[in-house]
Amino acid sequence: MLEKVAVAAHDLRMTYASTKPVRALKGVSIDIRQGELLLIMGPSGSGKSTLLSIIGGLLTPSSGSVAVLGTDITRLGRKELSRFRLRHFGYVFQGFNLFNAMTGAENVEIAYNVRGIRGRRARKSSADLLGQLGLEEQANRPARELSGGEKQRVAIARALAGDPCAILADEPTSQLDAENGAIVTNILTDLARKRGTTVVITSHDYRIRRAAERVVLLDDGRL
Amino acid sequence: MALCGIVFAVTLLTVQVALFTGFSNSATLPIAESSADVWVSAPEMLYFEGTLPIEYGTVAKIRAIPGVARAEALSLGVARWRSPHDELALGRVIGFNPRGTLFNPGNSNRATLDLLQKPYAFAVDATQLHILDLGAGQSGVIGTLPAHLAYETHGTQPVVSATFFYTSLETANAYTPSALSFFSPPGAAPPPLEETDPIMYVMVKAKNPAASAQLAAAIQRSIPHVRAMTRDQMLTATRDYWVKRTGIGFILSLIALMGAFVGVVIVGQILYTSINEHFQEYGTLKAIGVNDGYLYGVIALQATCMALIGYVLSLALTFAIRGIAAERGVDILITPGGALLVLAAALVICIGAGVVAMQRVVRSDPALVFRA
Repeated sequence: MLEKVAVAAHDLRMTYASTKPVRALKGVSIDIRQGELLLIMGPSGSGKSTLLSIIGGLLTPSSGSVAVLGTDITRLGRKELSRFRLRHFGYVFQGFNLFNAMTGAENVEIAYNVRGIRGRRARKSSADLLGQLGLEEQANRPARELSGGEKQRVAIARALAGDPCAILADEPTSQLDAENGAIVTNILTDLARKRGTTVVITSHDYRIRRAAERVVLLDDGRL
Repeated sequence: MALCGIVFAVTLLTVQVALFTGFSNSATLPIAESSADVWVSAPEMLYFEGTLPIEYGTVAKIRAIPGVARAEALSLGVARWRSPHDELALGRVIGFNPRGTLFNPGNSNRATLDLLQKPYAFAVDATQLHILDLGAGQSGVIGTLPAHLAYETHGTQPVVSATFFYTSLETANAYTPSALSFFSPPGAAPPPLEETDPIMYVMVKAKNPAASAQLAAAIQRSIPHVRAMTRDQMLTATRDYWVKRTGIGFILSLIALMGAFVGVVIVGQILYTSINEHFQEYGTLKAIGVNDGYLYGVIALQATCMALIGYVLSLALTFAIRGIAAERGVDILITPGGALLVLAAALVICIGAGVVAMQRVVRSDPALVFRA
């Protein structure tokens, strides 16, 4: 069976302008299948986060193209790109990036709110997602009081709020202990295998390496 | 901390606006204390205290004009005050008919007004007693004649003027150096005014107050060499003089503007700091894909809440300051219009500052959150 390509990146090049321009990507091409769990590895400064940012529509490359579900997102305007991100991507950050003054549930609800889902419907959907990730009891606690593992699970729930086609996770387990790292790895793996969500991760974590369907190595801006 | 800064900025603005309003109101106090519909003065009149005398006989002429229900004289002269302890001060003697109905300083009651019918009795605003070096029931000297404090008034002293001594027309006339007061025998009651004695204004009550403009025109036509103005025209002339033709109005306006400017800077700085502290959270929202309008909405909501809380607290603080200022004769007047103006200004300042502060987030690269 021919598997559908979710993300097709072609000849991506990225140069950061500064007094001494930095060439972060030097012609990267990669296809990512729908429902695939792809792990991007590489040493610090190899361009992993840059590649993830470009694939996720957070950064526009100096040249090259990124087609997501057939749409070349490098050609989209700022507003269109924002809407595209909102509709198709979920993000999991290394530092969780939760709204600490809000509860876990509110952190997820806000992801529904910005997509136009509000009130009871947002609360119920948020509770369902947190329940699926085993966070029923932590839902109403302020995010700042949650453990690292709980925070990252809330962050994953928030990323799933829009039912995105792809989850992009930057070093999602780097700030977690072994037990919580394993839990988060299993959740991300299940997302790809059971829900068919494309998951792209940058990480050095060997557990993710074991779980990933494909591992690519980025070195000095090249795959 | 942020709220403290906003309360400070909005209080600064509120006090300045209230001071300006209080100043405008204070400058026109004697006119506001009169129930006259029309004021008649010399044609050279610039503002309440800046005018030339007219003859007392003008009162009778005005009473004869159709449409006039009542006409009363008001005199205004310079007074040199000597306290019981030989302290000197300058003031203004305002003479009016205590039995009349058109002028009543500080809404005095009939019993207190009757006290002014005694020769050389005067009333003065309570805030002026320390300036006059005078205690309750004490006497001093105005010019060369005795002056007995009959009672104290409240809220009758314009902040821009020298001390107002309220007294009867006859006593005021005696105190005026141009009169024959210097030659009055000690202890004699001041004589009644003659037709040629100087007064400054004739206050006129119209039979039909709604037609006061027509009555002013009729007076102007009937009596040569006078200026007849409606109450509103008189108020405007006096207010405009102080606000537009003296430096005081300009200075107060400038300070109010500075208050607003300082408010913008303080609030902007506070919101900018707040946004910087939460930069990653805003950046996360931006990365998720929320549009700029949503981000502006978040900061506008935050700024509005801060403005409203700051506004309520600043009003409370201004009312507290008002009490202290009133004891010193400075009128800090918070009118509904002034309060609404400050509320609008607080909202504009906070939201404006918030929108400017949000520029950093709006213009930031959403990929920053991956690099943070």
